[in-house]
Amino acid sequence: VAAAAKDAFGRLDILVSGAAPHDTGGAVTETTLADWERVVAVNLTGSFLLCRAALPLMIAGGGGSIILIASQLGRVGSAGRAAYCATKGALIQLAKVMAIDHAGENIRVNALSPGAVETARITRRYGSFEAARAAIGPKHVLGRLGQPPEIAAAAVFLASDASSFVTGSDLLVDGGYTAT
Amino acid sequence: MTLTGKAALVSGAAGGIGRAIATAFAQAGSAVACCDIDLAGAEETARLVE
Repeated sequence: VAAAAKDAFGRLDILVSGAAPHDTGGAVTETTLADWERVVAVNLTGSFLLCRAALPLMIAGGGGSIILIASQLGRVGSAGRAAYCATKGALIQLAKVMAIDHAGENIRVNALSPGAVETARITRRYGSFEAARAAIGPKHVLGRLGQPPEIAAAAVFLASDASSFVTGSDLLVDGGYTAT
Repeated sequence: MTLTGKAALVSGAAGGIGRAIATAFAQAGSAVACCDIDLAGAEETARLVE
């Protein structure tokens, strides 16, 4: 993937690791090893591999900004979301360590933690946006789910020089989910 | 906030948050590579980005 980016652009300034699998969820006692490993593979190992491939290209170019899409559920627990919460929490820590390790190479690394956002993941989990809004809208202080552009605006900030003194952070864009 | 002249790679770009990020980056002036195991979705995002 990084080689393809190098071929296309000759450089890489910004990396967003945002892939996420559908996960059925469950307490630890309800989670099969296969389900656990699939969530870890995409959420955590995928981010690691992507960063490992991209970093040399960024370093060669003199710096960059890496954004790991985590979750408000990397900060707080949620019933029946063992694998999801564990991997999202790990991403927040991974961002911090990479921020430390690569600060000298002018690379900033941050996590971005959305609350529940109205995407296909949500309809798959809750059946419809209406059902999702009713079920988890009230858990957000703003009383609703987020929209994808509201998360993208924060990503543009972290990618741009507007955030030049921001590294090792986890930017919560969660409608106040974790404020209570 | 501008990303003029930047090159970006977005994984999970086939839909949802990834697609929104890819399009927002492009609107801010960045070149964007869209990656996803859902290749058709990523290509659709790439069309939107263009």
